Amino acid sequence: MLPDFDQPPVTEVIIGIQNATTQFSNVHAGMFYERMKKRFPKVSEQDPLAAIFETFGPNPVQSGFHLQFGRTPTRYWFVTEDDCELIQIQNDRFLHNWRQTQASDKYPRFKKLFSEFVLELDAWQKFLQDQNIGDLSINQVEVTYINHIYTEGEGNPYAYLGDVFRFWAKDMPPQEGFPFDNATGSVRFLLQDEEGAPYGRLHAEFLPAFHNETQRAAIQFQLTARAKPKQDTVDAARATIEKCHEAIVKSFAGLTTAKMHELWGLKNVSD
Amino acid sequence: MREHAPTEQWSTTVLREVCGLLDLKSNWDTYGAAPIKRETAMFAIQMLQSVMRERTPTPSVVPSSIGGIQFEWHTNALDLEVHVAGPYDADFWFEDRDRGESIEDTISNDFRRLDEAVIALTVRA
Repeated sequence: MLPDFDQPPVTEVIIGIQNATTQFSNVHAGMFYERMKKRFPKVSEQDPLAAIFETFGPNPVQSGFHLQFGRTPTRYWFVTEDDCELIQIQNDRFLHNWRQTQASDKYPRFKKLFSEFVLELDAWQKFLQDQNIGDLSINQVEVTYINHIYTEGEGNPYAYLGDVFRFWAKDMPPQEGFPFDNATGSVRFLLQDEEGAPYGRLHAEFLPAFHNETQRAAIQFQLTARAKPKQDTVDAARATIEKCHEAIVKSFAGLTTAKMHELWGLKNVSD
Repeated sequence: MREHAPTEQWSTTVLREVCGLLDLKSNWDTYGAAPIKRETAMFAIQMLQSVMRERTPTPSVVPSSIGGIQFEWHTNALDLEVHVAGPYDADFWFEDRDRGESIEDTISNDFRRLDEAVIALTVRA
């Protein structure tokens, strides 16, 4: 049972997997597009995503480096007609995004997005098998929630961070002659199994953002959970994705204030 | 001084050598060896970034026939060999010849046991 909100400030959700490199090429992208174009008629090419691994040692490794050599893989976006949903494919990635493109777009809920992702991942796995270009050996899953938070106070929303986040001192005194400009921050938490061993990480960060249509200043609060499934199978990946989602929802509720929960319409709990 | 910060010296050297391994084609050893995948290299580098100290000696970098990458240190009566077969799939062997002690273990996503061996290497360097 998880916290649930009537009007969560979610503007984008990404569900995805990372797998051992397949022999997927540009030719295969065209073939897979033929299977998916009814739902995702728009196509675009994107820079590749670097492989990321959540590991645990004494030095916190910043995932940002990318080994560039030889031919770099192409990442494709197949996008729905209304631009709200897309799948991303690469030789070692498969992701599904939902994004709010207009203020009236309502977050369709994880259950719906996850069931779509599962069907699309099945189609992707079947395609890889049909073409004999590699097994879907999954080494990591990830779930990301991007929230745009608007405060009730006038002017700079960063002056009201204490209203939004429980970890930010509400009564932080203004500095005379130095009005508050903005702030960024990040926090990381471990995901642990039943024995207390880490198997993933939850990254939470906040940074300045603006509403696409109105350009109103907002606080972007992004939560990403990445984890290694117990096995490299689709079933294990699905179970781990659900754990990542649970970690994000609990952390979102835990890191934000009761005042914001009221604004977003916190209901007791739901599945 | 930030003792945990990896130095540019080891990372430049090791990155160059690992990138060189990525050019190896199938059968590079003429005995049917597998090429090294990018994700194996990424994981191997990330593992080193996680455990290397400023004074840790730079390891030798060796390809393995299954498409893996091995890092080796043989210095000051200490031997450490770390073999990365793929992401989350590695093992290491460490021997302290002065003390007559050795450790062997597998590594998935938790590098803390490997870190103990790297600390020993660093302290004795």
